[in-house]
Amino acid sequence: MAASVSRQVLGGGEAFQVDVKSLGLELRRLWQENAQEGTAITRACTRNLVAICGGEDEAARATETIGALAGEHPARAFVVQATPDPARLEGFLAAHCALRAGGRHVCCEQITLHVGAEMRRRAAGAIVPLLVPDLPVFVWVVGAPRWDDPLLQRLLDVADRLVIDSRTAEDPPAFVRDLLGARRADAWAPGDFEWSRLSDWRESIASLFDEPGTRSLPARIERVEISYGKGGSAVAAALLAGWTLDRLELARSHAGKPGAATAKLAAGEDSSPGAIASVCLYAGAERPACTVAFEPGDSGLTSRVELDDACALPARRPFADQDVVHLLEDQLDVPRASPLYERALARAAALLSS
Amino acid sequence: MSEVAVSPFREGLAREVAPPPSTIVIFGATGDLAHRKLAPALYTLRHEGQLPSRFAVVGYARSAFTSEKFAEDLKESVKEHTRVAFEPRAWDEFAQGVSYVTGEFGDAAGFERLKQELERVDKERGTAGNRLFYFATPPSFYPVLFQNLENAGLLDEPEGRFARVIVEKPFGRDLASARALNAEALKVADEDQIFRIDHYLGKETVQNILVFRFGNAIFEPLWNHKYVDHVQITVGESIGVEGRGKFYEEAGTLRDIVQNHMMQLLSLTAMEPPVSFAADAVRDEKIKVLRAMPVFGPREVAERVVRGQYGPGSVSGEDVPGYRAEPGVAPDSLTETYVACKFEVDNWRWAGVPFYVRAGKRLPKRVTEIAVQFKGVPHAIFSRPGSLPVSGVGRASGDPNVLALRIQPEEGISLKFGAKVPGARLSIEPVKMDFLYGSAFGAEPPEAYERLLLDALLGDSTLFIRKDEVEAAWGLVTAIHEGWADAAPPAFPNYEAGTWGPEAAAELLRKDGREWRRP
Repeated sequence: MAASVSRQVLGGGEAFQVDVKSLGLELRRLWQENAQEGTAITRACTRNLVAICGGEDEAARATETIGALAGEHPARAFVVQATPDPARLEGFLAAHCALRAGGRHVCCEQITLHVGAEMRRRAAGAIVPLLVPDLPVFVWVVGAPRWDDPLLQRLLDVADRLVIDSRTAEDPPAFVRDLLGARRADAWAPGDFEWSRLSDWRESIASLFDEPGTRSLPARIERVEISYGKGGSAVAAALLAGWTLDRLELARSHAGKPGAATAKLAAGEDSSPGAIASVCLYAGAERPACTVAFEPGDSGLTSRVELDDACALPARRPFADQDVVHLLEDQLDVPRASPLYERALARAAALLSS
Repeated sequence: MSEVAVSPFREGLAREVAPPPSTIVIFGATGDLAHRKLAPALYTLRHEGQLPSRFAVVGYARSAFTSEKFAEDLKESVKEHTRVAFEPRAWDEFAQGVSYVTGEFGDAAGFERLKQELERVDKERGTAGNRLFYFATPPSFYPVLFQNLENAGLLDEPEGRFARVIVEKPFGRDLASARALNAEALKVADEDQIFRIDHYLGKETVQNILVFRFGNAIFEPLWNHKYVDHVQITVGESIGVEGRGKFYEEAGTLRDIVQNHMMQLLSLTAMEPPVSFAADAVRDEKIKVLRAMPVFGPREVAERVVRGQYGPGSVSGEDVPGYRAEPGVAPDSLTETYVACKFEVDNWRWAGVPFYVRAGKRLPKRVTEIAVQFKGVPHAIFSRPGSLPVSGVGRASGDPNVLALRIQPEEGISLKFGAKVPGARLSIEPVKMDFLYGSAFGAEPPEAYERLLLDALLGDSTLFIRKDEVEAAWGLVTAIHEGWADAAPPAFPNYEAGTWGPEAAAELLRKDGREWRRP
């Protein structure tokens, strides 16, 4: 079992206000004061994380998430909270600590900035010098990204990863197009909560082709049909279809087989809005060659090969927690670009605009 | 050999290859190992989608169980020991592939029944004739198990199928018995069918020794006799024999810890860079280390090896009995519960660098660590006459740089170095830079048995021990046993439970001008 970990915020449990111009000084003072209290503290930092939030609610959610990850993904974290007062720029400091078995505290800092519309460039100027050198910079846009935001633009100059959630997109085709347009090959790489939500789907689809009797099947698949919940974004379905098509194309290429599979996204009533209900892969016949779906009354995914000669048993896979803590954790685990995601995204863009 | 699945769909996923359809047969299926370690590990692998859908578990033991009763017992063990959530539905699916055969290990008829059961499982579960046999039995049964598997034709590997055997430690009890056992096994199976397990090698932090050494450019240039003063390896346990007195009377610490875990840690620490992370490339380098370690004669045993046995004392605030008062232990037992040795690795890299190792029961804490202590600075500028007053690293008795690789608990790496204390006075104090495995990586590491079972199903023997490694390690350990046999009986008990071992162990380092670390 995991070591017991409890969380706390140093300094009486509240963040304290500091002068934005002297944030670096205040950070040093924070640790010096706590070292003097004699507590056995290990400061740990494996990355920089800047959360750009729209308002108080989003900032509270980001703070909660960062705190929950402090013990296992310690970061120097910045939470940027937009405020109605355009000229406001205030800073607050806090330390998230995880108390591990043996009484050892593992701590990391959070700097919260309340930033008005006119102060966003200045806020970036306060954040960039405080980024811990030699460690990756993750910029997490908690809501929908605004590409013309000077704060985001300035941070993307130094970012390694931009983490977004394409489920928040009001106009999915435009969202994907803008994301691909903003991406510079030599700079930050995009990460997407929606891609993390698809992990179990991708594992389940991959498991269809693990066994000797089904290994050659991908080269025969001609059509992919993905059903998702009506009334929600089709981004998840498009991303999964994009990934599946990309993998099928590679399988065909390995097998020396010409042609390409096609994909169809179908909105239905079987799932909550936007959530994927099933994946069916067809190899020429009316009946799918294999499927991945939630079976009635089950929270896990079941993958089935329907071909008579394949001799494969259905396989079930639990469907992992998909709260924001797990999604962010999944993204933080990948410090570099994911070519698979980017290829899937490019295909998703084509599917969404067709 | 059966090939593992390689699919474009697996690229970038948690596991890029998947094991083929297969059946695992557990001999000693009603025992502690099967219930506490193997069944939970298999359930977890299944739960995480790492096992093929066509997978089965067949238990084999003497107890007259039905398959249903066996599955029910495993379920209770899994509930208690699994590190993932127990899901009744997932268990029910797993249990569909669980069955049991009653039989003696030496009973040919029992193996015929096993063969029939495996044929039935292949037919009904589609497990394709791939078999992984796990010997979770006392070692004395290994020869007969190998022979009966051979007699029943169960070690045959027709085209595209595999038949592998996992053997638990101890593999022999001395060099002669290890050689004899290897000879018996290799009469009926090829070396690449035999997976000798030391669960230490399945631990993430043990594998991290190789990553740390060979995945970073900055440490390897220092990793030799020019910069390293000595190495200390500690495998300490705070527990006693925990009801296994009878077993421990036969084993002792030298056989139980030093021959396997300790030798593996030492060879991973001292080995040369392998040409790749392939099984034989890694094991070729490990065996070179063991071969470079001189086998002790009686004089070296007397001078370089300390044995101990704990008497009554106090551990973690509780009074505990001495070893001789443990159940199953003779009141005049001469079995060692503590060993400290000074080994050397006579090769170009390590000439003159002692490897001090110690392992014991009822020590103050449970800890496994490898500590590399570096030499002092060549010229101590901070302690020159007439310079500012100093303390710390620059002094002759100051703190050396130490790199500690902690295997358990609090897995991680720490580096101790000297830093100037702020102020006008030039005072140097040791500071420690810590990397805690659990703080840097979110994912909980898999249990050692999960990793090793999966590797065996995939046919990857990198983390298993080869015949020549086992024999080389036994060669070193058997020489110590022989030295002890020729010496006067030790005056046991010679250390108090809850202390770091006998005084003679401290003296072993003291006479070299060194001291044990307090881990």
